[in-house]
Amino acid sequence: MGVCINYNRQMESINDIFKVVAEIIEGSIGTPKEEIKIDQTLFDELEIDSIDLVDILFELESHYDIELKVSDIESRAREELGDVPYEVDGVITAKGIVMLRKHMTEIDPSSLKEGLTIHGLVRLFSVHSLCKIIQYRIEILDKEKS
Amino acid sequence: MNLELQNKVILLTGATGGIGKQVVLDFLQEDSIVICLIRNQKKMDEMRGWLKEHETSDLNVHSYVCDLMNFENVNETVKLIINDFNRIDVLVNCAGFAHEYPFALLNESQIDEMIDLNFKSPLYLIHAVLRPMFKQKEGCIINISSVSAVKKGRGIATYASSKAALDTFTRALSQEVGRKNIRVNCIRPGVINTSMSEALIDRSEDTIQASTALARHGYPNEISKAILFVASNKTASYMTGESFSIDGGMY
Repeated sequence: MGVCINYNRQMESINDIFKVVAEIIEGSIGTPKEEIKIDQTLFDELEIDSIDLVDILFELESHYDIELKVSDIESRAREELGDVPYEVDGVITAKGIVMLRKHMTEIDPSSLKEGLTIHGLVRLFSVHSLCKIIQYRIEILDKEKS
Repeated sequence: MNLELQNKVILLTGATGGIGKQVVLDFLQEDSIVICLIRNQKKMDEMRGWLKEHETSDLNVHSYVCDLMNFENVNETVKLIINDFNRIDVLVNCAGFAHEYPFALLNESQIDEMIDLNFKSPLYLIHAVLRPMFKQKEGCIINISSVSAVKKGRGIATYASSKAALDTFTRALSQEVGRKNIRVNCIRPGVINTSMSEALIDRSEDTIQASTALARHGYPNEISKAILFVASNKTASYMTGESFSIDGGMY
């Protein structure tokens, strides 16, 4: 997939982003894009490993001309918590869990429970989570420009 | 043999050193594009003069000033290179430095300098080039370590350890990126006739002769040719995670 940077970012809905993400996942791990569903988890259901995820993130960066971080998904939760700790020694706090349930509605809420680690949270990511990371970054860039 | 390195973009540190400039020359003679990360322009100018003395055009040599020990600066420089050349096919981490001195007498900055330049700076640069290499779906990384990483020697405890760390990093990283068609290997030169080893050769020529099967020190081209071999997909496409010594059979 070639680099595509000259387009109207504000037109990007989650559905538009999903089409791109599915195509890039297909390119990285070979799963046909038609078989990729937005609610599938990356690690357990699509069997993507951490190196595939790096590859996918880099491809998405090229496509959207943005820089992505897996931690972007937690950023809104952290922002809203302000000075209240989101995690302690890698374990997400009870208040952090509440925020994640609010902002990561695509994840089964019963998985977002006490004792969840930051590393464990990444394993819960779905295709939808990935789409939201991109949307989040695009929104930030658009805010910076306006 | 055609190594098929024509128009390959080679990124190199330590390009103005004894082994480095020979590496530049050899890649240029394969019609590669060589990009040198340098600390100052003066040595680069001298290197260009040296290339001309060897009847090699410097048209395909480019240089960028970069502080290899500054993570941000390394990232920014790699972005500039990608902007200018669109890809990096091969990275050769050739920069290295040794304070040959009893460990107990080294000061903090000398210890830091060796660890930072010999171990941390290659990691910073590899970290930066992995992004374009992932995107181009291939790449080759060659770390230049030292035979001291695996053989005994006095006055080189920190240097030897930093190079051993680079060996281990090579092996471990190769497991992470191999499936993405990025090869990572390491070459451990023995005592090579360069300015870095001049003092050692001057005072220990007899010992070097007695402790190597070939009974002599090595020459930069005996390392650079191996680097080209590893860089080429024609000769080393199935080679990754490997560290090997070129040391005249040192024992």
